[in-house]
Amino acid sequence: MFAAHFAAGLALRTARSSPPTATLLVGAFLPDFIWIALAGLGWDKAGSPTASDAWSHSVASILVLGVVYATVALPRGSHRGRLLLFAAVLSHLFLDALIHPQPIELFPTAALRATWNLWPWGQERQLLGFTNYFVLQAAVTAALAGIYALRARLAGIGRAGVRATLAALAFVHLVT
Amino acid sequence: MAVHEVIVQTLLIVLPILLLSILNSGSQAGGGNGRG
Repeated sequence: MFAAHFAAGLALRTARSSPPTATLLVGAFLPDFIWIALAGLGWDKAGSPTASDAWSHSVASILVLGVVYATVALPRGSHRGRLLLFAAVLSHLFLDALIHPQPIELFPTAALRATWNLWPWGQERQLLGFTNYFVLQAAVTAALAGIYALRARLAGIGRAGVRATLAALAFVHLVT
Repeated sequence: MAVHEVIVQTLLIVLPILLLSILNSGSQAGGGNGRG
């Protein structure tokens, strides 16, 4: 998932007493930032059958990241604000657990992992040549973007901003 | 992962975050500290 992570952060942005948009979106992508850093060091890998990205994307890793990020990013924020940040990080787990290059592990080096693996199915092409992954991510992103669009006014976001945001989300999904 | 890949991957995430943050800079509570 890629565009869906942005959409998850934006949906949380419409909650009452929300942290700033950038703080939420960084939280929604935190496991990927960690993965990029670890992959740069040659530690956490994805894409090969024997590789593991569990140090950034396991259940335990993401829970720890969520707690640390919520504490560090909003040291003087409200309990509700920290909870929203934790939810932003946790959203990464739910979205990636659905479909990911490898089944999500319970914790790094654990034998326990998600029993489903939709990745091979996701790579199959269906109607109009789109992959199942593309269609699934479009559906998830659209659902989350719908929540955002319906609630954006409550968060003080103008119509022009909402339209531009939805267009940007669609663009991100189409080009990635 | 090579250094240039790390930079590209990071920018692929950071640039949309910057754009979406600008587009959604409406009133917010700043973490619930009383401004919204």
